[in-house]
Amino acid sequence: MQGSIGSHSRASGLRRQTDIVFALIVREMTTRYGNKFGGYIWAILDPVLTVGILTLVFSAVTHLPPLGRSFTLFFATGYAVFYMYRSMADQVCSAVEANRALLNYPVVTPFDTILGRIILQTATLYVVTLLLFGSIYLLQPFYLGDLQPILLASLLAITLGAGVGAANIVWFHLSSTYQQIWGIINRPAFMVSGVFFLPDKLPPPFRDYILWNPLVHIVGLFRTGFYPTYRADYVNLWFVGGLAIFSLAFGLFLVWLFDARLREQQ
Amino acid sequence: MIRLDRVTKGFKLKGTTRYIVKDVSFTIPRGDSIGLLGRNGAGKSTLLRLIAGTIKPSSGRIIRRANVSFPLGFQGSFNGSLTGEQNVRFVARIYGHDTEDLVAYVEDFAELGKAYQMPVKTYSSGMKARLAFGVSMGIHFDYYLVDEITAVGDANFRRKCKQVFEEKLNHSDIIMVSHTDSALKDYCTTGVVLEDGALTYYPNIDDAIAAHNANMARR
Repeated sequence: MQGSIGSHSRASGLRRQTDIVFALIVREMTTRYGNKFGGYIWAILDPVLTVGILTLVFSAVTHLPPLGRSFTLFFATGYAVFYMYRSMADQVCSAVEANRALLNYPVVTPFDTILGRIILQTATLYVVTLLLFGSIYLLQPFYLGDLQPILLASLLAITLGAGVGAANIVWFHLSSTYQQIWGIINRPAFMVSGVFFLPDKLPPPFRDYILWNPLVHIVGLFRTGFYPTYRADYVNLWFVGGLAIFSLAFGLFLVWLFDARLREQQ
Repeated sequence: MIRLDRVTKGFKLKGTTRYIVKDVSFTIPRGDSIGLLGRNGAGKSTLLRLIAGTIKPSSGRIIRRANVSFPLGFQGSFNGSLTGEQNVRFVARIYGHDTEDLVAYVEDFAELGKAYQMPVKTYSSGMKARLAFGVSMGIHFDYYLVDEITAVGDANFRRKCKQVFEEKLNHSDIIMVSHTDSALKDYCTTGVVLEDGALTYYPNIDDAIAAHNANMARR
């Protein structure tokens, strides 16, 4: 960058970073999702199969879902937003390792790879969610209440997922033991996030415990957009909103702090 | 200009820290091409990566008032499922280079023919090396970093590479790691010897080579 010193270089630096993130997104779209069968298919197949299996199992065991009449809609409203969180966390968490070879280009930073994944995954998840509810609507029309809590809940899930994923890039890099433990602890996350039950119906002590899980709040908020009569009084926006923003800021701060370590092989 | 300001880089290994460079200050002015010499494992490649900025010093800082390349002919980043052309486009984008321009340049330079539109995983190692060298030559840098220059392709292609690279050196400088005296003498004017964490600068590459050989004879 000849003579790029002073205020001018900051503007062109931002421009360059935008170019780099854009290049990473295009590259990832064509490699992860491109040529082969897989990629996009799996991104949509995961929620479709999960919702399908839950519907089959639960409709065999009970007569009515906890809300409304449709098992499919109940599980879809639970799993879709949980899936947004989890797949965002997984994708962001592997961003640096998956692009390690590209860090040999001095212009590419670990931060760029993370930003690229967050943007691409956000777009992917909204398309997947739209396809999921679109196809449910075609099979079994439902009343769409309020779009605002739906958008807010999905945004919270994405923000929290990105933050957890970014922090885990650093923690996993520092300790592979922690990586194993995290995997084990998170396996039952799906069971305790209110995907197939409502926290309102739990007995008192468990109800309070489970409300420490931010995903329960996010799932509850998401559902209020689909079920106009469902109030989900337990949703604490300050708690979950604060936690999501904090986790993203903290995760990105860790990545910045450990930038030098992340550039080196584990 | 590239300036190392009290740069220390160490790696912890089994409780002890091994220093590649320790408290080194050094300025590389524009107009000089530098050869880096040192024994195996002295940390020449690490020093090159520090200069490139792909790894960070443990302490001190490195100031770059110049546009520094990735390692010449670097091909580790090529994605096998992308075509040669797609891989070139990616590099063009991250360096803010006109994509069509670079795609056309490399197509002409690397002489890959139809294979240019095929996935890189179908390439032979020679084809990959030609593609990588083409990309390095297609983008302008003030400094080219070279970690052991390796011959690419047949005699005709090698001649072309040497010619293009020498043209480049009218406007650009190189920082080269090599164990081959002739390569160092061909491309470098000055030299730096890396030994036990200290850098010694020699304004004449021949003196650097002699000092390095003396080090090797000593131990």
